[in-house]
Amino acid sequence: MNKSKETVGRADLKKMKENIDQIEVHLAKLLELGGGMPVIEKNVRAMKSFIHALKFGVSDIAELEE
Amino acid sequence: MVEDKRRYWNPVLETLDPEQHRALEIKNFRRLIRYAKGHSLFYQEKYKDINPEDILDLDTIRRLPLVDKEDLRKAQEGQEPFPYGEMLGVPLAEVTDFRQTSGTTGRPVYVPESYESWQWRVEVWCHILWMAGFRETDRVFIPFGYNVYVAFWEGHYAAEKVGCEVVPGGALDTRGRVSKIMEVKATALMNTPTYGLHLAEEVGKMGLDPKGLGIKRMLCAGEPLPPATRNRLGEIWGAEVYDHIGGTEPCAWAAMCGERQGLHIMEPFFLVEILDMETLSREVGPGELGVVVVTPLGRHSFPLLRFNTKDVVRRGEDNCPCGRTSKMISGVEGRADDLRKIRGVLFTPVTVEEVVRKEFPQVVEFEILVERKNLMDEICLRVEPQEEMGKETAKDFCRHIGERLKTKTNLRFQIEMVPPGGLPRYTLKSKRFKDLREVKNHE
Repeated sequence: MNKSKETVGRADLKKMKENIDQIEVHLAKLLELGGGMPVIEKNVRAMKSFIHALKFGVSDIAELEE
Repeated sequence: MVEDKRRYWNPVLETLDPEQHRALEIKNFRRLIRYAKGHSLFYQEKYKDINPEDILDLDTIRRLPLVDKEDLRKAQEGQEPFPYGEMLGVPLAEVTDFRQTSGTTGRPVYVPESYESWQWRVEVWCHILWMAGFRETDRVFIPFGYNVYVAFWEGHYAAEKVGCEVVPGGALDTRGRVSKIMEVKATALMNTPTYGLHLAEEVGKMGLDPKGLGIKRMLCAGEPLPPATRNRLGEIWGAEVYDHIGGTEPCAWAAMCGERQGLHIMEPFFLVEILDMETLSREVGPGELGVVVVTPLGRHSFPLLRFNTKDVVRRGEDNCPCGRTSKMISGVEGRADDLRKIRGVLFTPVTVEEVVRKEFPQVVEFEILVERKNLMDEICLRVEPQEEMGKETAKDFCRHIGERLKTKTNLRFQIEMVPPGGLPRYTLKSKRFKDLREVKNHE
């Protein structure tokens, strides 16, 4: 196993993925609660975009290692 | 442990085993085809007979059709929804940014970004900046009015995300930009190689030394950066100079790390195929030239599957000392469009730039003209020296540079001296290569 994987182990990746998934669920709930308010809609959109990037760089790798 | 976590933007992703990169790329390619078929009119048609679940490996991917710039133009011109046409991959209401290509090879292509796709592009650029040593302590000056061209927007947003302080340098002339760099004590620049040289020239005219401006690093964009030009920029500015490769359509798909021995392909954000120039069907090996075909795997607003960039690169050796495990390229030879047969000899303008920048520092600017005269192709290098040369010095210079170009290109060049200030200066991409045979063919 290479040096970087020692510092961020499999267990961490799995937990990170779980956290990312939970954030996504929370964002969906927040959007629903917002009822179409632009402040919620637009900020949730922004946060979902960061989740897309995190899923690419973290969650996908966690799934690969499962 | 803190040191190790800060060395890479994403230490796990950047040091994955190569097989894991491949597995992710194939999985994401399948996912992208599914998405593109469901959301883009262009791919609904182009891939109508293709089942994403049949995409199992690189061999099956290689059998899929290529897309090139002309396909993108046809999919857009006169097609709804305006202005993106059949390439659009999200509802028009989700498009937040309009970008376009520079239009140097024809009608510009309009590229839509949704907020999500834009952040995906920015994330790639975060990797690029982090590899080039950009950190929270950097004050990054970007000497451009960004307009509709994507490169410096990406750099700006990514520098912010990395935590740098960004100073946009549009709406200033070159001298104004030099003054601003000094005023704010910028530590880093993002510019085209051409403009990096032009900026340095202006600093000299102000009676200053670029090395004294405190620039520690420079990320170049927008045009090829031959090693000699990169070294020249590094010497002039006293800075580390980094290259990256990308485009408006395919995004930024390769970049330099701190070792600066070639460029890392930004895996697994992209599936990058480097294919033989004759058949575009075989992946080339280390040391071989190939044409780059790119699939940005996370960008939905403008899905691009197997885009033929027509960039010609040399496949590098992997196992970079930096520890990143992505595939490498050792250099960019130029655009396939720029590769020409001149008197039966295959020629690329990048070779000339490499000779000029490495061996003739007295040359400030140059231009290459190809014409047909009396049924023969003639190639002329027009050079502008820093200072007017005496008759004998100019004669020796012309003979010497002609000999070096003959050795490197196998072509005999006419050399024409232009007085200081006689050649155009470019603030964005240079247009130093002019094949006038094509102009005449089209008349």
